[in-house]
Amino acid sequence: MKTLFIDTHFRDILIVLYEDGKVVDKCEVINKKNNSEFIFPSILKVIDGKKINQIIVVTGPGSFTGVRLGVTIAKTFAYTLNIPIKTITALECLAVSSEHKKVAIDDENGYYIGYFGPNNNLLEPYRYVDKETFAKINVDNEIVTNIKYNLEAIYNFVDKYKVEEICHLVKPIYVKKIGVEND
Amino acid sequence: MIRKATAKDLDKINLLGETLHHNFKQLFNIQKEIDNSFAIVLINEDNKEINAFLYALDFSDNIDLLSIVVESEYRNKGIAFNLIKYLMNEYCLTKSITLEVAVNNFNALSLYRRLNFKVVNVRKGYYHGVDALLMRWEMKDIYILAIESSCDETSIAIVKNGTTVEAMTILSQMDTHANYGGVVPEIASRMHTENITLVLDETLKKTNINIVDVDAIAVTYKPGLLGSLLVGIEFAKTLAYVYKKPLIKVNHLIGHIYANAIDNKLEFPLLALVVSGGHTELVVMQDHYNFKLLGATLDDAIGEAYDKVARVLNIPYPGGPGIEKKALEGKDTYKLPRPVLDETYNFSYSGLKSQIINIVHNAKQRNELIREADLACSFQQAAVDELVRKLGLALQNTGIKNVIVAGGVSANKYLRQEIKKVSEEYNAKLNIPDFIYCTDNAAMIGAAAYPIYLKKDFADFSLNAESHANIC
Repeated sequence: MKTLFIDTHFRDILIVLYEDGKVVDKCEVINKKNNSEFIFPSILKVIDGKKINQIIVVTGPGSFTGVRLGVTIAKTFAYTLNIPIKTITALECLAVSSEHKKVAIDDENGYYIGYFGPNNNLLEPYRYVDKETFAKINVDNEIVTNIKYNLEAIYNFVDKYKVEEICHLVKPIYVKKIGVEND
Repeated sequence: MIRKATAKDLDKINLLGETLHHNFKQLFNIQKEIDNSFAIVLINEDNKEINAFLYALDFSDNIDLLSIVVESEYRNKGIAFNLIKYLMNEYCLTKSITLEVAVNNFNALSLYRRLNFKVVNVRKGYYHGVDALLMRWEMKDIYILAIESSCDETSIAIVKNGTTVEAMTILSQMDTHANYGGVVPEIASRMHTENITLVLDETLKKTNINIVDVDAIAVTYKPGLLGSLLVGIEFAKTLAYVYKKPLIKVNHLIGHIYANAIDNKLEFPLLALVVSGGHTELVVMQDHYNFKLLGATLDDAIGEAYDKVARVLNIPYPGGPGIEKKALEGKDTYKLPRPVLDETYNFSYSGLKSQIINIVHNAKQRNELIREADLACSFQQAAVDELVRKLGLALQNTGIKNVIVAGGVSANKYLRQEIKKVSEEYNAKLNIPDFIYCTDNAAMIGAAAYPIYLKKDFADFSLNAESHANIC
């Protein structure tokens, strides 16, 4: 069974092709500013005409536009190919990839934070804090940001714990509030 | 090489014609036809020597192929085939080609059959006792699935031959954005992502046509909100990839112009008046995708002026329809001075807007009441007067007899009524899209994509969005 994994939650793009849970191909585009030009060609490089049986998409949090485009492509694939779609958050990806269960993703202004239990179960809702607040709550450096993805662990986690979703209902998670929500 | 014939080619064409008919020169009078706008004279030349020609008449929805001659030593090399193919490709906005052929002209018959011509009738004894077959080639119907997501409407449509809307869905986010007093770009993008597959699902339910049957996927790529445009673009790429269809990128403003091609045939030359929140332009079109700017606003667009005045008059978002409604209850009592009364085709709306702001401001200072309905009416009349006067000027100076109106503001009833008057005054044929095609919709994108489809000018998977764009 071939699974396409799409992660565009940040400036970087990561597209992975799994065959029965083993990574058989991947495409990483690092730090391209204008990633909308590169997302689809990167996916095509990995699919390379192969028949896909399942989609896994990272729903964020991170770059609003980046994650939105990944999710749009993923749900459109699921809808048109009529194949299952499962989702995972970027913070879950970090937690399942390491021993650390307090994880964070940083952007220019602050951090998205997720606290997980030993089985990668979420302990409290995700939140976004500015750099100053982050420094305060992370005095003992318990929250880890620079975790390298363990792609097979991610697949196994999704395979075991995530249920298939209705493609129309798949949407990004944003966590960080936007201007009009703060007013 | 195949090209259009010029006067220089006449002698050779007549010489070739004589092999067809001894009195060809007098009978067909190609000399006159070369300058005739609806005659098509094509020649094929190899090493600068003309060895074949094709002569046809373009009756707008049908081309009548009158003669095609290939010099004897150049026959059986596919020259005639290529000439007809050229005719099909270059003039195929036309729907069909008809011709007559003698029933015993086996070479020609086999050629026409290979090109998919079908016999539609027989003319008994047409060629000195020999029957003629009337044959017809019809262009296959072209279906384009079009996507529009440049602002706060998620819309998908399937459009046949750039003119017939087979199915369309428009999901407006207006109610959501009304809570914020205007479109919030981030929220617009979010809603596009949430709804776009549902909008496709809904559209496909309205028609028997499946995506597998469409010929191309078209999408708005500029101008608009970047985040919103990108959702439509990535969605379109995925469809184009999965169903192996060519991708067509469409300029949203040109889309508004082509809203006039829905259930209507554009006749050129035409004057297009573009009136929207971002544009106020007068454009001449000599042909499809041939735009020449006559004039444009020097400051605010008319739709922008409507929105700003609405804000001053405390009319809730969206301001344009609000002012229009308010104006119905009022009279033009404020007698606002008209903007620049010059003889260019340019427009100006910032002065008019400032006057309204001053009137409201001064009244407040003097504790006077504003007659809002009257002020809305006075503003609307001044704003539309300017458009109508410039359109009249253009009709007078250019002599063009076709007018189309494009853009969101063309839904304004007062504007429609006044433009109708001025068009009638100059005996010009006017087309304004139905209300549903005036505001943002995917059908107009499908209509605008059709000429691009015929030119086979396709986009690739690295297509990106652009926030700003003009028509020309």
